Formats: sequence, C-alpha cells, structure tokens
Amino acid sequence: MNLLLLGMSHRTAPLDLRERYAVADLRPALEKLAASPDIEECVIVSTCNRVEILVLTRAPDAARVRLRSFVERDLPNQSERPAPEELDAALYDLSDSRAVRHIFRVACSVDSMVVGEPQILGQVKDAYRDAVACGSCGPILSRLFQRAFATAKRVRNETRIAERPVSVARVAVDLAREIFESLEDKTALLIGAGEMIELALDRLRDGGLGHVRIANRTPARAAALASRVGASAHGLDELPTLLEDSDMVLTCIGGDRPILDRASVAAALRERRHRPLFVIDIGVPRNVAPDTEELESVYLYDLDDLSDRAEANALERRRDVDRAEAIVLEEVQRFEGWLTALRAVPTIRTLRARAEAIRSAEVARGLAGLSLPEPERESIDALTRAIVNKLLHAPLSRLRQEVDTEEGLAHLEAARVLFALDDPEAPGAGSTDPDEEKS
Amino acid sequence: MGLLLHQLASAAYLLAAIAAVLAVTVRRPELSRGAAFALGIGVLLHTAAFWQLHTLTPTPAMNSLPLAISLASWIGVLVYLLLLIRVRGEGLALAVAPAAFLGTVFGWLSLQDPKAAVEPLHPLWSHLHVLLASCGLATLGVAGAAGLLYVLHHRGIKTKRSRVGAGLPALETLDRVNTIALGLGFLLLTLGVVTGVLWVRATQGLFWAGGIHANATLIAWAVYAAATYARFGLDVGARASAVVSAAGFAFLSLAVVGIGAMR
Repeated sequence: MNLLLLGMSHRTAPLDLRERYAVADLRPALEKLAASPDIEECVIVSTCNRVEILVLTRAPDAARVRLRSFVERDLPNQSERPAPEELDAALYDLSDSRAVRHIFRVACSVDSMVVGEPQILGQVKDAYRDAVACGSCGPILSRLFQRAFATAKRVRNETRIAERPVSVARVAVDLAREIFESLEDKTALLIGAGEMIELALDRLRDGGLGHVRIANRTPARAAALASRVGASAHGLDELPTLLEDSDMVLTCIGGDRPILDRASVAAALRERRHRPLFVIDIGVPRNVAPDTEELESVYLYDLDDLSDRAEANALERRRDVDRAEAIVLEEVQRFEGWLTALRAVPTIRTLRARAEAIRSAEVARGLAGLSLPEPERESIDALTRAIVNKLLHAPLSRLRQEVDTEEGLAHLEAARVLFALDDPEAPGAGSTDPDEEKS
Repeated sequence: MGLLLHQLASAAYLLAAIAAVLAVTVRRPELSRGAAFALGIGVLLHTAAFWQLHTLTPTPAMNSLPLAISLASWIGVLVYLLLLIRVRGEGLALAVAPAAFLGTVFGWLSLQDPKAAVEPLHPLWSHLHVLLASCGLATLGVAGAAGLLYVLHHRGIKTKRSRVGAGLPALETLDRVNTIALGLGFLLLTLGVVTGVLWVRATQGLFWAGGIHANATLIAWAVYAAATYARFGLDVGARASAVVSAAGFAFLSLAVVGIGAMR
C-alpha cells in the first residue's frame, strides 16, 4: 500500500491558477476518483490556498497517472486550461512519509500562508468529513486524518504558533487589548484615508473595535472611506474636538510636520479627564511629535516600535514553527509505526492458519483409527489447540511488537521463510485464519 | 480539623499563586483563569476552616492578630472573586493569591497554639471593629494589588520593552478595580476606625486611646481620605491613583500588621 499526494498551493501556484482548480463540491469529484480501480481510498482538500488530492493505492505508478489525468481533465472549473508546463510547475507530487508529513503540516497550519491561522484545520476536517460521507475514505486515511487532527491539537497546546501577531496592524490590536478591557465601546480616530489606514482599520474591526471616525486633509476622501467602512468623516480642523472623545488614534498622513503636538494632546487629555489615549503613528515622517509620549496617559507607538514588537514575535514564531515541525515529525513516525504494524497482519494470519490446518489434520488422522467417546475427542482437540496456541504465542507477540523496527521486519521475513508461508505446496497452505473465519 | 482546613486553603492559594506567576512568565493568560479557580476552591476551604473554628469550645480568639489577618485574606479573596463578576481581572490573582497564601499561613501558624477567646468588654463594638477593619484592610489590599500591577503594566507598555502584558488584566481593568476597591475599602476602613473609637470610648471612657497602632492607623486613614478625594473629586490620573493605592496599602499593612506584631 502506498500513499500519494498530488496538489498545488500558494507556494507553487498563483491565485488565478488555484482558482481554476478549486473544487466547489467535493463529493462528485471524490466519487469519480474513488471509482478508479487503482485507488483504494481518497480525500480532496480544496481551499483558497490549496487543492490537494491524497490517495491510498496498491499500484502507485498507475495511480499517479490517474491522478494527473484527473487533475488535468476533471478538476478545472473553467474552459480555459493552463499550458502543461505551467501546470507542471504548479503541481507537487509526494508519496508515503512525505505525503503524511505534508498533510500533518497542513492541518497544523505550518504550511499556511499566514502560519498559525486557525481556519485550515476546520477546512481539512470538512474535507475529511466529505470523503467519509461519500465512502472514499477508508480505515487507513481515516487513521491518517485522525492523527493529523491530534497533531494539530498538540501543536496548538504545546506551542503558541497562533498567538503571536507578526503584522504591524495586529500588534497594534494586541497592544490596544493590553490597555483597554474591551474595544467594543471604544472610539478610534483615524487620521488619513490611504491604503495603510484601510488595512489597519480592517484589523481593528476584526479585533472588535466599536466606533470609527476618519479625518483627512481632503474631506471627500475621508467621506469615501467612511461610507465604505461605516464611519463618520471629518476634516483636520476638527482634530482638537475629535481627540477629546477618542480612545485610540491611528495616524498615517503625509506632511513635513507633525499634525499632533504635545500641547494639543495635553489639552485633549485634560478634557477627557486623563483617560488613557492609545496613539498609533504609522506615518513616515511621523505625524505625532515624539515628546507627546511623555504625557502620562498617552501610549504612543510609532512604526519602529510596532515593527520591533512584530519582529520579536516573528522570531518567537519561528521557534514555535521549529517546535511544531518536531511534533509533526514525531507524529509522522508514530503513524508510520502503525502503518508498518499493519504489514505484520498478513504474516500472522497465515502462520496461525497454517498451524491450525496442520493441527486439525493431524488430530483427525490420529483419532481416525480410535473409537473414543465424543467427550474424550473434544478433550484431545482442546489439548492440541492449547499446545499450538502456546507455542505460537511468544513468536507472534514478538512479531507484533517489533514490526516497526528493522529487526522486527527481519523477523517477519524470517518467519515467512522458516514456515514456508509463501510456498503453496507446504503442508496446510491455502488455509485461512480460524479467528478470521469466526469473525 | 480547623488547622487542616486552614492548611488546605493555604495550599489552594499557593497553587493559585504559582498558576498566576506562570501565566505571566510563560505568557499563558488561560493559566490566570486556573488561578482564579484555585482561589475559589481556597476560599471555600477557608470558609469551612472558619466555620469549624467557630464551633470549637472554647472558641479561638478571632480578634487575635494572626486570625484577623487570615480573616482579611479570606475577605480579600472574596472581594477579588466578586469583582470578577463585573471585570475581566483574573490576572489580579498574581498579587491576590500570594497575599492570601501568606495571610492564611500566618493564621494557621497561630492555630498551632490557639488561645481561647477572651470575651472583651462591650463585645458588639469589639466584633464590629475587627470585622469592619478586616473588611477595609482586605478591600484596600485588593486596591493596592491592582495599583501595583497597574504601575508595572503601565511601565511595561510605556517603555515598550516589557513582555509581561499577556498574563495581566488590561490597564483599564486594573484602574476600574483600583477605583472600586479604593472607594469601598475607604468606606469600610472609616467604619472600622469609627467603631474602634466607640469601642475605646465604651471601655476606657476616652475618644482616642492613642498609641502607635491607633496613630499609625489614623495616618493611613488620612492618606486614603486624600487618595479617595483625589480620585473621585479631582480626577487625578489612573497611574497616580495606582501609586497611592499601592503605597497606602503598604503603610496600612505596616500600621495594622507590623506594629500589631511588634506589640
């Protein structure tokens, strides 16, 4: 049995290519793929950042060809198809432990565009559920995905991969939460109406910010942005009044001189009875006079301060990613151990069947010439069965326990040779495991 | 049994203190919730310990300093837990839990050699004074804890270097806790001082007994009166109020506990 993964992601394919291969409804695609004779089990993960197909197969070469043709012919949702070389460059093909490691990394959000983002785990779970629902996910891939979810949980619990903001805007939101109990009842004053302000506003809104006012040199631009984001628009001449009622000020506006100086902020503080004022100045050159920071109730962070904090977080996050990779590796090894243990099952079953066939044949032959009553025949039958079970118990246990080691695999091979399990002419060949028959 | 329950309450408070310290050092804010939970368990054990002491014959002297401090710790934790209904201040456990632990240890050390209660003259004033003064001390202790954490957290954000913020409540929360506890604590302390005066008046016929304990307590009351007026009447900044709360509690502790222990 082999695992194969074919896919493209934000690392290998641009958005317009990924869009063409995104699968809106997974079930028909899964049913089509699962109908292939070379594919035992399959799961498709399709998000805005990746399209990946994971399959379990007994014929990897044939399955690889099938997967490629499936991606080329069945997946594209637009008539316009990319050039083969463009598709070649975008697709990656992983097998066995590399495929397992990849799926674990995806579930843990280590492979995400924004490392640590929590949505991907839910998306992988949805993909798994769809595959289970349409019957394309069997015991091996089920186990693989269950382990992937457990690994993601471990990574989340044992690292802080998702908790360290690395963008300037998210650092600002984090700082705001250290100052204010809640952002919902707070008012932010945004000075400027450019792209940076808009981006930062998105993050602040995500953080739960309540009220927003936008002030700009050109009131029309402020009004345009305000109408898009549900805020009020003002001119810069209103700043003194606006400052009195704002809890946060986010400023990014052009100009040679600061638009907020210490005196104007101090006056506003007096009016607001020294309630804290969080000022984020991402303008270059700075929009707020640096000595404003000396005011006790003002928490002033400029672009450098925020970048320093973001960089420190990024460094910590890299350490978290290293820890997450180590966890993934550990879990991949554990899964492979389980997968390898499955290899012992056919040998153990054949050996037990062979032993049972020989035992029952010999008992039948030995008792054939004796006229023993039924209870005694049953006693002899039970006795011989007990002897065979006891003889086999130790070697079979050892084979089960050691199968994930090199020595264990050698023992497995030795058992097949010593007991002639692959020889169809050997005594007892062709029998089936009695336990399997019972079940 | 009372001793054992006191020791168990101390253990719960110690556990809370460890969780609260870990919340800040390893930056796991969820550990603060664990600390608050451990404080809740501790306060239940502490309540059972006091209830058990109350049923003893003869009853240990609750107006003894160690047990009064243990009582103040119990009230302090209760005030903290009640505040959590209104504010997200689990991180306050960083200051409340160690103080509660030390308070209960002080209490149960004294229980190893318990003195029977000596029924004071005019027991109503005596009991009211001990109860109100303990409540005042405990509530001002919570204000002091919030003030101390505010000063540290404020400094961390201002200097842009500190990384302790993750386990602490927001500055706004600490300020709210400080303001509420300062107002309530000052009221209780005032009532404690008034009932103390009435007790002295009833037993000794004097309005003011004097002595280092009474004089130091009066100075602490005056400091708190000024701090409360400044906070509610003059709208001084949150940091100044926090500094006064932390320093005021240090002085009050010295006046009540330090001087009491020396006597």
